[in-house]
Amino acid sequence: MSSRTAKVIILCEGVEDYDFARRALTRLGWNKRLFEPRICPSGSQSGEQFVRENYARELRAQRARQGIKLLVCTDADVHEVSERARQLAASLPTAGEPPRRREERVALWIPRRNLETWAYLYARAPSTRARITSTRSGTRN
Amino acid sequence: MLTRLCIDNYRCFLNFEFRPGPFTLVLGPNGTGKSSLLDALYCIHRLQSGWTHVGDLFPAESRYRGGAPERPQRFLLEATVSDIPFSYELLIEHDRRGRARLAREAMQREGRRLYEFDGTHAHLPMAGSPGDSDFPFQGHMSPLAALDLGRKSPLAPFLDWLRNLWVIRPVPQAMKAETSATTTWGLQPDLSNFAAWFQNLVQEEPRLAARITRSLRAVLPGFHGYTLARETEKTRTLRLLFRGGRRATEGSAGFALDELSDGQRMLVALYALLHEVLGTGGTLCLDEPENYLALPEIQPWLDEVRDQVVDRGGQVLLISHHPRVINLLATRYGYWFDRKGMGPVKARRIAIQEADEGLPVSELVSRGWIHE
Repeated sequence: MSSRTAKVIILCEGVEDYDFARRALTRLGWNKRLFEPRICPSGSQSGEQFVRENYARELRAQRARQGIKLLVCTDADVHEVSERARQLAASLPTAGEPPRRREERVALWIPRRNLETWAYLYARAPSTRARITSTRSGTRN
Repeated sequence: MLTRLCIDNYRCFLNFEFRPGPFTLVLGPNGTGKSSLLDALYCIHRLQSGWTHVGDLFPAESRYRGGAPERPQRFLLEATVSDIPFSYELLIEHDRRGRARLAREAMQREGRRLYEFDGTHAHLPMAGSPGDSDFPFQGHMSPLAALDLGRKSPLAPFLDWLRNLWVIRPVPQAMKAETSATTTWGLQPDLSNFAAWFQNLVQEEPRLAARITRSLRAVLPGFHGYTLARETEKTRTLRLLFRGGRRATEGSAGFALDELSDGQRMLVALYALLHEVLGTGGTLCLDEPENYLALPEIQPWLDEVRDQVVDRGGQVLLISHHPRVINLLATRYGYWFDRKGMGPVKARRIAIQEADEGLPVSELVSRGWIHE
């Protein structure tokens, strides 16, 4: 009688990214029982590579079902956010998958440089945070 | 929160040391002491939770096989409770006929010894009075368990924590719907007295019971409440109410707890424990709780447990063989229990060799490649 269907697939580099994504979405009002992680095995190839290699696969599965959302979390690392997004997009034709369309329920979360940087910034350095948000408003990465 | 546990001369443990964190996952082959670890904690908890004889909890057969018969059993618990570090030490001796007695019991708070029992005399400070207290006591049970020290005692935070330590080895088939006339203290590890425990919870903490009900509405489709209907003068039956059809107006049906499937009973118990223990900052030790859960239910429960640990300061010690649990949590929170032959158990943090990178941890466990 118990029947849960995952509605939000979170493809990410590590447990920390998954925890951040699901807790952020829960704060925004999402039902916490809908999330399903697809996480890079620890100690495996780089997390970024895992996400990039599985992006097309998860997108294909998402496109085949109604009402499923895909959230992709990957760090920008030393790249620009746009460069990381371009790398993800470039992985699709190789796998025979059409490009992501704007109306599709697929989100890319690409923190720069990584999630920990932002967590540290917000938790430990309120003065720096204030400076950055005032000078970089409109270009939030 | 339990921060360190040392066990010597108990079952498969000899000079064993273990340092759990807020969330700890215990893995290992069969027969490597995972459940015995929980048994040790449960026995120490029981020793402090009532008039329980040492010999009933630590019989001669519980000593390490192959050890010297005169060697005592030793247990050391270190825990941080309300940011205060405590340590608690037990020493149990068995005479030639195998009868157990408490040879020593001691407790420290912030490094200062506040209580000591040497097998014949107990010494402890008395709250609100200038002097200390010395009194004779026999070692068949713990003097601390026999005394009512009061909430103001400096030992109270640790004793409260230890008495509220939960060790659960769930057996859903044992969960009866009827509350017994002779309710035993606390929740039994096999959950057999769950209904009685839940009845008590409803009476003592109605808000908590309401939170559990809300959680279960999300987990069990159609569930909307429960009743504790009187069956006889002294017993009640826990029934869960489900709406029969898709529309809320359709009639509801009540199912006694033991009429539910094993998996449903497990869900009821696990979400109840989640709120009761972790929601109040307690320590919960669980032996393979996901055994009876359908695969889609494991991830939401794990997420909820980890959130409670982070948000409410609870602690979870989880034994699991489930690939989903292992792959998600082993490298971050995992300990590997192992022993050579019938030798003593060793616990090590899970570490993945460079050559095995990219393989799921559950696959490494399955192949026997963890800490070869």
